[in-house]
Amino acid sequence: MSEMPIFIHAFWRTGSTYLWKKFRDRPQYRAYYEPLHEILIKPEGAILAELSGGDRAALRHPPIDEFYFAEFPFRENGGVECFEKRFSYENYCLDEDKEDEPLRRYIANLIAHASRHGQRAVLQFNRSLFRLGWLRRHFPSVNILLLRRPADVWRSVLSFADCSFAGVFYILLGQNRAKPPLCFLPEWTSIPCFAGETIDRDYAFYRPAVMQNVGKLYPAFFDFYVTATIQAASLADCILDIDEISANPQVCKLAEKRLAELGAAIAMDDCRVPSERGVSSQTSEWLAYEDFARVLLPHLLPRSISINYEQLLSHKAMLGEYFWNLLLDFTDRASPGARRLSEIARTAAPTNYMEGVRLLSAHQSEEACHRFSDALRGKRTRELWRHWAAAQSMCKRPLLAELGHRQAALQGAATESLPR
Amino acid sequence: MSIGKHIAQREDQVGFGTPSAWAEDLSALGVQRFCEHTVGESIRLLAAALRLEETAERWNDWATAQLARGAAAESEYGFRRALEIDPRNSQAAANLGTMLAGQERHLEAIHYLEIALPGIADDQRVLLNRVLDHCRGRASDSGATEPASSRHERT
Repeated sequence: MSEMPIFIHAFWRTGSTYLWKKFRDRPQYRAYYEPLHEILIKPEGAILAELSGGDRAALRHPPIDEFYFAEFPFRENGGVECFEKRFSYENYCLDEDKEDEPLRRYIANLIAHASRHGQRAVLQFNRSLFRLGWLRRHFPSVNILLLRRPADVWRSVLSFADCSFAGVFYILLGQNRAKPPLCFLPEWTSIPCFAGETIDRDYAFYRPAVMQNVGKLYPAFFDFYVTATIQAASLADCILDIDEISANPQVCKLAEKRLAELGAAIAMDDCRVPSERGVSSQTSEWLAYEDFARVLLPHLLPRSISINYEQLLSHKAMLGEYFWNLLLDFTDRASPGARRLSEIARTAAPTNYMEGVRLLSAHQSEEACHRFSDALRGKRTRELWRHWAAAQSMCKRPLLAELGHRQAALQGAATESLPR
Repeated sequence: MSIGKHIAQREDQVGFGTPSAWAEDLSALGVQRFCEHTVGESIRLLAAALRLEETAERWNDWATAQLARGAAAESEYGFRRALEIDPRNSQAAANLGTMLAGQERHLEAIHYLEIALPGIADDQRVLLNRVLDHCRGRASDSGATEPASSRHERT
């Protein structure tokens, strides 16, 4: 196990740079920073010029001695050996069974490069959550999943005025929207699919839409993050809940112990991740969406996106309540009990719809929201979405109301009207 | 205390366990959360337990929690599922009968209340008899007749 490369899988703004630096600071590891970063197509000098000293502070990253990508084998004529532009986003959703020889060769080259220097490779990915199965199949490896509460992640994403992180998330969604598992998620915002010859053309194409829609992206992000988390958690050797590690010394010790068992001993007692506990009207709407999505997503996603309870139990001691509860909603989704619960949701949809209409007329809008949400688990029709949107509007949740009306419009006039 | 930590403590006592034992743990916590009035969490825990292992008692608990959050349709199907698994489950029959009585579905209520009565705990019998009398009165006022199945069930 100690010879196997270590793969860290995380979304942006989750403390992954902190974790990467822990490995970089130890000479036995060659810790590659974001090996699927689009910037790696550029010459080393150009990257150095782009990443001036001020950027590190702006990114709120820990101090580093050398530039982020110093460990990579750059070609003399520019770019990292074997790296291709499409690796970053166009191939973000990569099925375990698919072949991608150029990507395999690129990763294998990084591992071999570390080995040539007498080091163990650590690859800290921020673009791998839907490729974890593929990576595991092609490379015997230790896979660490790093999690942070999605509302905190998104708050951090939005704190960048240039929308840089929201922008690359938009590219990721646009280029993968039609692929499983993202194709099963609700289309909360219209994102075209475009992949230009260069990443700069992709940035330019998506930028106007990002600037226009950035305030409405949380539902799409949450759906994405939950789906990715379930799929990655079902395959990871170790799940690090950064919020819990940061707040709870006992969990920090357990995490260090688990990593040591996997041959990846590091100390994390200095881990401090900011977390906002105050609830603004925006956050409150995000949390209302989370409650709704946790009801709806189990009825939209294929049953293969599941984690079995035994697996979840093996990670339990290191998970905070938030991620434990979240993952618990997606356990054993192919079991007879799970099928029965889905069947009940379908059968109960008409009654829930009618009850929702009654409650809405009686101005009991929160209760009506619950009934319409329950009904949407069973069936999603134009009328149902319209009523759900109306109830959200009465609850003063304008973003959810807008998204509901959008879904109603997407259903189109041809859709059968109501579940009966 | 978090759910994860509660389960961790139990495991320290009983070992890593089996799916049945995990489902039992999740159910117990689900019931505990229900008693603490955190109904949403209770439903999630009971649903996770049902995905591991279905039992009549568990469906009955899940349906009871659904009823508490106003989801009458889910609740009815949950109680019916409990009775599919164990047709003599007195608690599920009593709950379903009482719920149907509340919806003024008197004939259906009578059927389930009569199934429930022989096996129900003494502290619930008085109340169930009262509900049953009420349903019978309302059914006879409306001129409806009892279903043959319920006459057959009577002891």
